[in-house]
Amino acid sequence: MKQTLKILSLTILIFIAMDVIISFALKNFERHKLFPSIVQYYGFGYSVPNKLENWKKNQAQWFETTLENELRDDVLKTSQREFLSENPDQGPVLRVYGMSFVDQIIDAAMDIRPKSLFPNLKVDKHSAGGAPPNYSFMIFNSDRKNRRRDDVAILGISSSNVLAMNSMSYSAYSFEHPLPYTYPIYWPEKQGLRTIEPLIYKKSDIASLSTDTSLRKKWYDQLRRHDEFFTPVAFFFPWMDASPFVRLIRRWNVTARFKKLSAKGIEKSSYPYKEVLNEFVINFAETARSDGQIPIVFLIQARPTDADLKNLLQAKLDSHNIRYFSTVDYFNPNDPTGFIQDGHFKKHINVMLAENFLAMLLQDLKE
Amino acid sequence: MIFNELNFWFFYVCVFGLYWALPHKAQNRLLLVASYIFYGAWDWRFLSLIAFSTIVDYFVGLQLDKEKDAGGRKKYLILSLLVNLGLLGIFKYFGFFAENFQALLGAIGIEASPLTLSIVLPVGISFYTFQTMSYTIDVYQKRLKPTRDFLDFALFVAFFPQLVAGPIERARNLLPNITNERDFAWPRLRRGAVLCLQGLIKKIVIADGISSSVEMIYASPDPTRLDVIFATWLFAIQIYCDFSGYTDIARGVSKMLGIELMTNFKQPYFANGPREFWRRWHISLSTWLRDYLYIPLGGNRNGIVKTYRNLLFTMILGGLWHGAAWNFIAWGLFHGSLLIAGQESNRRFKNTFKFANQLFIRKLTQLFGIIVFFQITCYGWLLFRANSYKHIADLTERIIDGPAGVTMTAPPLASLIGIGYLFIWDIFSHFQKSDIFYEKWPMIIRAALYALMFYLLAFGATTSPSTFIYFQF
Repeated sequence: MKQTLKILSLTILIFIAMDVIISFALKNFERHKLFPSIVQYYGFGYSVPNKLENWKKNQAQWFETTLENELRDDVLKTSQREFLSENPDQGPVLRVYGMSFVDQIIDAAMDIRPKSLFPNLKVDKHSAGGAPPNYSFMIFNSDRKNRRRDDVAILGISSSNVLAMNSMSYSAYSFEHPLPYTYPIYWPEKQGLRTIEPLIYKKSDIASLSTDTSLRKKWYDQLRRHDEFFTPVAFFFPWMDASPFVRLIRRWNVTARFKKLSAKGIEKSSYPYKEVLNEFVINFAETARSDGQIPIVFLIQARPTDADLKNLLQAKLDSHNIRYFSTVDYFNPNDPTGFIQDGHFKKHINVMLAENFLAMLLQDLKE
Repeated sequence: MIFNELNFWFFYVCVFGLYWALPHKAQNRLLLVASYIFYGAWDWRFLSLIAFSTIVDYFVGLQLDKEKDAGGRKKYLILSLLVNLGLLGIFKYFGFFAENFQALLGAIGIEASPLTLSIVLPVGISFYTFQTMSYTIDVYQKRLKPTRDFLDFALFVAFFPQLVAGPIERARNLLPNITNERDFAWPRLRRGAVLCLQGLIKKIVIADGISSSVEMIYASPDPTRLDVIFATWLFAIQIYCDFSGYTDIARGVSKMLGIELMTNFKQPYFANGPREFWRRWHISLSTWLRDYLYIPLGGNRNGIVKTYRNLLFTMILGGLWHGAAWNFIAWGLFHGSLLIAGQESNRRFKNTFKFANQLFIRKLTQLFGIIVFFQITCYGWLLFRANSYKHIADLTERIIDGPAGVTMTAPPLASLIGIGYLFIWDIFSHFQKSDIFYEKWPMIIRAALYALMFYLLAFGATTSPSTFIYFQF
């Protein structure tokens, strides 16, 4: 027993010494810009409040712009300003509500479009990094005043973020890159959808979270009640981030829980993903049509995937005569050669998808 | 509840604390309850299968001891085999055989209506049915006295550390561990903890870390030549770390409870031929197949042709044990053929390589043999991992004449460090011929090793956690 206790104490001492040395080394690496991937690896384990603080401190400009471009109330302000400055006689405008995948295809389409066929085509994008369908649907509905008749409304749905529909903040859903934008959770009702609105919708609210303890408590309570992906370990005890080991353990704990939830998949979840997604596309098409716009649903089948989107939505899309552009019809997502490191499509895939989208759009505009 | 989840360790700490506070018989009862809770956490309905198998084999064991007539004894043995193989047949192989029988009828022009039953495969069924069968056969062959205590026997069948993925224990080893009193010993606790730590590193840091690189290539519609080669090498490491990691944890957890389980792996990729490989890989299954299938079939006692037939048959059944799919049969056939080729070349060229007796040349040829045989083993893993014969043919063609370049994403840094660490560990174990080689080291070095292992586990723990591959068998 004596010997075991001796070894145990010695192991703990060496372990603590190792942690201190690693902490010191990481600080030096960061200062001298050495081994960025190791620094980033340990950085993934910071608590969400510390990640936001670090972004504010080290990437202030980017962080500020991101908040303005992604938090609903700020997005709408910009959208309205831009809408008012548009020339209403020129168009049509592609009003895009999605995420980077859709943006990249649309950008490629704008680059390669034959000017003679699309002389006045314009684009107005409203996207957030990794946006789930409920974010796109919320912005589409909130931005209704900032669209015109004959515009083309595009609702983007990515198979990689369907699970986040049962979450109300990307910071709760994506621990490693917790962009703090928020969105409602929708539940099906007899007539349409019931909405659970998050407390936070503005850039200024995010700033208040670090100082206003009562707001923070209310926000965490709301997340705890409604957000399936909220893991307290990701948010609490930020002072413990001083230890690299604690950061590793924090990340392990949060990602393990996420993995467990995602392994359950949308079929076994208690949240009715399929039903709500189908409500989204029907609702989206009805709103756009009633406003005299052309609705198109983008189904991005990417990797990793939460859902087979076409399989989930095709029946309703067809029965309601809703146009959709499904990437799986043109590119097999199991082919790793079509993706760049961060999971987005390679440029030539975006161009190929854009060509097919333009062909479809041309037909729609003619009709 | 699996070994790489925190809830298992909470469960284990509770069991462990209570266990050492109880007297021997109560310890066994606690372990039995814990085992049923552990298994029931997956699907409580399948506990009835374990209970059924336990009751049948317990009574068959007692009857075999009582019955003096050879014919009567044989009938009891057949009853036990029918029940255990019947369970396996229904839950594991029924769908496969029904589907293939239907296809066969279709091929000769008879249209059969599809008989499809949605049968869920109970976790660990192949492991515990083989374990109980070994008990009955040993009692039948009078190599073992049957146990009279029903609850001890139930614990032998359901002992939670090895219930779902082995090692497939022999009653001769595990039953005395259960029936004899056990003492708490600190060195055993230390060794058990190190085994658990080692198993978790293998599973979480290495196997889970590299799984997505392998998955990506095996799911890809157009992998390159190097993709297939790298992914197959990685799969060889993944399956070794996944399965031997599970065994290490099972052995470690049992050791801390004072129960010694058998060694299941001995650095299998240091084998330089098929025979040696099967003495190092999944030892509990290979010795089971040897003792209860190959030797009863005649083993090597009836001439070369029958020896080879027995080998091939045993290995095909060994392949089929892994699952009801043609690629597992192909894998078994592949290894059976390798064993035959190995024996045949030994027979024919025994005296040809006399020069290899010089130490240096012998070591060099051994090393060469290890490297070459690893590649051959890897091809076997390709058969094992592929989804269909078409997939096997496609991947084989790509190894020979696939497109150039690499599209596979590199495994995480932690996994690469883990592979390097494991290689050094296995070299020490191999050359020192001991799993506990580190115990001879000075205390400060040992403490540094444990701290390093723990840190490595935390460093690699952020890779995607997943279930163990061998649970499906």
